[in-house]
Amino acid sequence: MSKYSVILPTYNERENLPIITYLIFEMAKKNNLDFEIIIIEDNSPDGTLQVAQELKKVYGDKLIIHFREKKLGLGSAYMDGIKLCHGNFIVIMDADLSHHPKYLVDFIKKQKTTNCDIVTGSRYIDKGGVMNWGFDRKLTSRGANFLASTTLGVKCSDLTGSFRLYKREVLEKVIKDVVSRGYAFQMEIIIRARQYGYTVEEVPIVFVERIFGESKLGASEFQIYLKGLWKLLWTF
Amino acid sequence: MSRGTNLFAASSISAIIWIITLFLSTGYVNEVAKSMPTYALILYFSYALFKVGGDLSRLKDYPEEAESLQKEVEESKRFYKEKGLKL
Repeated sequence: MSKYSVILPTYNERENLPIITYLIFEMAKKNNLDFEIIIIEDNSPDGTLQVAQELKKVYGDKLIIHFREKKLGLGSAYMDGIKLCHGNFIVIMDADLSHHPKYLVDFIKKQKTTNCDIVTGSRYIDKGGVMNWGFDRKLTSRGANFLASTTLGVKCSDLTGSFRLYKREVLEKVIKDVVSRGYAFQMEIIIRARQYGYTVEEVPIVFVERIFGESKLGASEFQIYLKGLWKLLWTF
Repeated sequence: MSRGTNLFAASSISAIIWIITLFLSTGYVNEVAKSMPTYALILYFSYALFKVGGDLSRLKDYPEEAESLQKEVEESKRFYKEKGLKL
């Protein structure tokens, strides 16, 4: 039977963490799926670690907490997380409720029917969408995706998406080579995976902009994105 | 060769061909050659407008998703209260 490990990097997610954990395990129970969650906690000042420890009283061994002294970024969070996973499939998603665990049922179905190596959630295909996004956020996102796909010549409707299901060995192999940070990191994973000949399938998701907490998106994020894109241009 | 190198090579070759055409051609061909770079830029931006605009018009909002998520948030709070957790 397949086992699914969710790597959940957290930083200041004290309010969202209990909810996302509940949603993941409820989905797993309803669909008779074997899930575990690995929380990568980067010493949040808002007490996210204490909340995670409280949650462990309810979920026991199915919830693994990995504490890190400071904010070390997504890439290293995934690498640390992989070492602690027991599953043969790994899920990467955001902890702020913008990625709803209910879609994992569709991801798993897609993976089983196609036997693909990676399933990626897309906001931009039929039945996909967003909520609580202003027009400029939509424009920035679509513009950035357009820029990436024309510049890099890659066909993927949602290149910067970070809601994905991987076969464990695929993620382990690909992540070793990734050099980018930020949004470019997510793009690079897909590009490298395709280069290795791994198959990528897409599933529509609706992305709901965060209800609690502060978004980590800012003007400097776009600069980081452009720098990342430029670097990728000369990597592949 | 990286994609960057490929694009750089392609644009350098195009630029050289364009410059040669500009200097060696006359009359109508010369007129067309002069406006080629502007035309190429207009083509690219028109394509961008068409593609991004089209995608934006198709990008749907799902207010019902936000509503159902709110309900699930309340559901999870009740669950943890029953378990006696202090969050």
